[in-house]
Amino acid sequence: MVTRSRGVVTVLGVCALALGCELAEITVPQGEPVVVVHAVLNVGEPTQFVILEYSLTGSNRGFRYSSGLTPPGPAGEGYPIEGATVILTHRNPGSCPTPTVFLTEQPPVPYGDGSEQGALAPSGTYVTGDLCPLAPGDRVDLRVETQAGEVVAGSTVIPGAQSIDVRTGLTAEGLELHRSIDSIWVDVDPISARALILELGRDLDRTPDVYPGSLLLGQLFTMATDTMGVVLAGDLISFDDHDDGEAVFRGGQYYTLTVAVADTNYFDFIRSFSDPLTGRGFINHIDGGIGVFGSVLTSHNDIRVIDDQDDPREGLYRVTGSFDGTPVDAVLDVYLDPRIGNVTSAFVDGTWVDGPIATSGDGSYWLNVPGSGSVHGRFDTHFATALADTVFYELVGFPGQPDRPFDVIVTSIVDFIPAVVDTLAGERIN
Amino acid sequence: MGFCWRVNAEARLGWIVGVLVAGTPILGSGEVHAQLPRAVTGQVVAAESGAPLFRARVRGLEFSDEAVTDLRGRFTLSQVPPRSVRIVVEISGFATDTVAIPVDITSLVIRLVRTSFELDPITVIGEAPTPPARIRFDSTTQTSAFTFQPGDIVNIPGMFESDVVRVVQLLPGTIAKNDYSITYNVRGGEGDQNLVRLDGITIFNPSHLGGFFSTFDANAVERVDFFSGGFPASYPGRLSSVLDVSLQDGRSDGLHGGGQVSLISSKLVLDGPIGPATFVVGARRTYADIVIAALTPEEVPYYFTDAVAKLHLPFASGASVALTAYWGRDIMDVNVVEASDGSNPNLPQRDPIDFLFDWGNQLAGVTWQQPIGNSRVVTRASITEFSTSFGIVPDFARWDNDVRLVSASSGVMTPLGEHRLHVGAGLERYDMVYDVRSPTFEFGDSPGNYGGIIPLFNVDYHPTVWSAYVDDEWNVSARLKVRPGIRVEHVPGADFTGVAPRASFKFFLSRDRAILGSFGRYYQAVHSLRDQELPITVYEFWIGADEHVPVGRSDHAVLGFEQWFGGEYQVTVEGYRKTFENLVIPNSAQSLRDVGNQFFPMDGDAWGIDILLRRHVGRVQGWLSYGFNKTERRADGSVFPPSHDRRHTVNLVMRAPGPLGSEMGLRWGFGSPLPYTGFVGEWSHRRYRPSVNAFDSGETEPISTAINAERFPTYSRLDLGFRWQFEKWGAQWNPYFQVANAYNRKNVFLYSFDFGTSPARRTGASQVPFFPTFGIEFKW
Repeated sequence: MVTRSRGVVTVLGVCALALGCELAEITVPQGEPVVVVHAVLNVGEPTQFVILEYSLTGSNRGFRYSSGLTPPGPAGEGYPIEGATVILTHRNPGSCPTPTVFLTEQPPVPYGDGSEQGALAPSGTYVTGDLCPLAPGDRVDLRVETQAGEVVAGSTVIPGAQSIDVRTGLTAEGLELHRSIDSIWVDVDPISARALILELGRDLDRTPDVYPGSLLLGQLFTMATDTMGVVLAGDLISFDDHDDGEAVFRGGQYYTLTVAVADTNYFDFIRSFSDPLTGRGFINHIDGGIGVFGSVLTSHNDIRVIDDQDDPREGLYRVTGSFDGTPVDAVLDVYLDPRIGNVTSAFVDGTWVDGPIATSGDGSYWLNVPGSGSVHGRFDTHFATALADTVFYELVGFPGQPDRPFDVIVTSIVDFIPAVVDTLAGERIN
Repeated sequence: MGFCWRVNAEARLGWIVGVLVAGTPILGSGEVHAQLPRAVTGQVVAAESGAPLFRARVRGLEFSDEAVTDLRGRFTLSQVPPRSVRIVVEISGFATDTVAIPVDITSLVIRLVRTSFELDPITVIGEAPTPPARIRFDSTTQTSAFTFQPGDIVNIPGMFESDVVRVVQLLPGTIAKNDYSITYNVRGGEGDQNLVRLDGITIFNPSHLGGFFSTFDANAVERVDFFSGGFPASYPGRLSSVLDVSLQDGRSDGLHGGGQVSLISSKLVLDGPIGPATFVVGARRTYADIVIAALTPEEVPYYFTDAVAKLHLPFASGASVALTAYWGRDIMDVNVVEASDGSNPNLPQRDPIDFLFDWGNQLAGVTWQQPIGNSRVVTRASITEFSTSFGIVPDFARWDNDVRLVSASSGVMTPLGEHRLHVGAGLERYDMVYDVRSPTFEFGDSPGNYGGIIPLFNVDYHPTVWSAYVDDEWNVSARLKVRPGIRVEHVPGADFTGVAPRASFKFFLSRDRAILGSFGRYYQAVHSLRDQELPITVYEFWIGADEHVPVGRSDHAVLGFEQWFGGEYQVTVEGYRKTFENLVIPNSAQSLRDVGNQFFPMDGDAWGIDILLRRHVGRVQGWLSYGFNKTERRADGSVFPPSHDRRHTVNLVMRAPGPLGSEMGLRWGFGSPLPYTGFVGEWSHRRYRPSVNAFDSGETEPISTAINAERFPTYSRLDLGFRWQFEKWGAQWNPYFQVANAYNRKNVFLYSFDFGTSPARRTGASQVPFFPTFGIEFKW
């Protein structure tokens, strides 16, 4: 397993800095630009891309790109390299007639940064859809020639696997994970691979993305290991920067577990870093520059997660009625977050405005909310349907006695603006 | 320890009582056979009470014979040359005395003065006691040697409390890379090449709080010997230096104690008799965590604590057994997720999750000293361990490192005429284990093959070192002493057998002036995987020699000159040349599954000159040292200066009468620029997202220059300390006030760069700023 923890030295370094004083800031000479390459060939993708940018040197043409994915965003920290000649050569092309392809520079794209909205930046991204088919063990070479005359090169050996097997539980059929008692088993029978990469995120098609783009950017868990088998406990806890020991898997949610086998270049790229104190430690396989030219083979696996439902608030709720003139009838299978409380997720199944749905929603369920008029508190949830990212539905209810129906106020939200409000009937059905 | 004048007065009393000749008649007056040794008997007693002193060490200064007093304080030296000679009498808690024995004296009583005994000012008659350095000058060939006693240590100002290792860092040939580091580099060597021992037992990582404190409680220390090169064959495997710390034995005349309360820690040391034995026991703890938690809503999630104990049991035969033990722990416990007991209906019941980081040393050993005729056999067995644990607990992941050394050794010293022959053998068994595992994950090496929770990373080293040595302290003539020796080390796991010849000599140009030198080969079967460039080493990551890890080697050559002036001033000039072979540095591209590629081999060499001017007695004492050093390393095709390659180092250490009746301590240090690896740019280390086939924005990381191609500015720092003394409630109290970095020089600790601005900018952090502190010591 690889982490990027700076570890003990950083901890004590901070202590030492707290005792010492900050030195005066001075200007230092501009550094020499270095060509930075980011390219990972993905065997399953129809197109391959290479990102080129110069390192930050203190020159006035560098800029910072705050967040986002590249592509589609521009190459960020540093300066995107325009007009470069980027060549991929397949060294084991077999019968493929075009082992060497020249990549095409993508047109300028928006910065994607709020302060720079509207402006365009060179993409720094070069793509091709013409690379010969990639098979395990094949070697592909990269050559970059910039307008300034720099030449950068790299080479990767394509990874592969006889099988990538993902199971949940010991005997369970399908990928449904009971987070309290089951684990996820990942088995890879490699042909040519150095490492196994796991990346877990919410299922993009069945998760409300209430903050635009956050779902795409967000990762719940990622790891790299040089073994070919991993078992993840269902009650795994996250310690990412923004988390506070939260559960990675929560009942009532859908997830996508991406399993990738990687070559040596990408494994070294992800497992090493340039130490902030010494500038050393990064394992570089790029000649004439810095970065990565690697390759992966990926497998995407959707997982439905359930859990025990011990809290009285957890269970099945049915919402029926007519929303904006359309009859709806859906069942919410509600789970509380096992570590935070009040935070809920729910499978949402049934018939909704656009037709049948099988999705999930996020929300909360508070007990004894002052002024709510209900000793059983307030729950809310929101979910998306097939029109994900543009239309959400927010449901707010104040359950009374368990066996009595209650009102559920449903609001449709289109492009993040409330559109239609209607009141439906809700009831607890188990 | 009291004020300067008081210490001197106490010590000098040893010469007031001097030598009292007992009533034994002179045997065969006028018939002494000039060529045959004679026997001298005597008794050592306490000056103030006349009580016999048990197990005092009595040894010849210009001849090779020694004895230990029995329960009645009696001793016999049977190999005394038939001429006027001097003997040295030493015992813990009393001023060491040097006594002249005329040719016609065969029996005497020696009265020693307790070092902590309070006396009124007295008229001094006779000479001051001989400093240990002078005794060493007169009697041994050892080069590059320094001896300190508690009084030397406690008067050197610092940040929080007196510290043994901080004293070592001020000696010529020794470099401390910054104010925070307890590690030191000796004559171009690495920090892991310093053998640090407590009562002969190795300590792997002798520091607390990342280097602010050493593991040695100065109040419990009896004596400190430091060898910066050319150490004799009896010392086991380290390449650069030996720091030998001896604990007090404890006093036999009742229960005594002492302690200290400072801003950050407190400590207590007790010593006294227990049956026929004596003991010393001490404990120390920082309490910022307790104080801040009591007074504020904030938490300091760190503390360290340690304890040391020694039991010394003498026997009537002159034999003795000493048991030494130490335990210390640094603990950092940060609560990441608060626990919930479920009483809040809106918060589920859950266990706490902590970031836990703790480390520390523990050791225990026994030393048995047995006189056999004129010989003395010293046998020692010990176990010492350093362990650390780092993890998110209880269930996420845990990183453990244990380093253990079990050793046994035995040596005999036999005086044979003008020879003192040392012969010994030893066995060291190291066990070093690194283990990273997680109850949350399981890993398998092949499909379906998991086999339970296996380590994410596990590597272990188990070198065994067999050793034997012989060396001879030979008084060739009145002017020439030589000490040839040889040490053989065998490491079966590394298929290694090394023969290490060592020799030293001293040629007296006059009574106070000598030329001295030494050369030797040194082997080291354990290494630390340290990053050359990191400014802080929290502790060493030890690995041991095996089929992949070589045994390190260093050759020393030292040539010097030593001059004494009036028994007070010492001037020593030494030049040295060292080579280093088979060192290791971490390989960042190591495969966790491929044991043996965790490092690159590294060679190097160093040369330099060390100069020491030291005044040992008087109202003003201290030393001025200068070191010139040039060190080079070669690894992975590169030649570079290591981060401790400091050309010029100057240290002034002084204690003198201060204002307001205080005793003042002063320490000023200067260091020429140290190397560091500069940055010439930054790059965005993005991370590929296989789930979406794109790169995220990643982290900005530096692009560096060649290794250690830049140099920091010069370093200098002045520390001042003032100590007062008064008596109350039957105890002696010493309040003190210290200022570290009195002129608040901003010595660079590290730089940080920002190449994302135009123009690029550099800032950084300084080392210890102006830092006043105070506290009080007490003893009774």
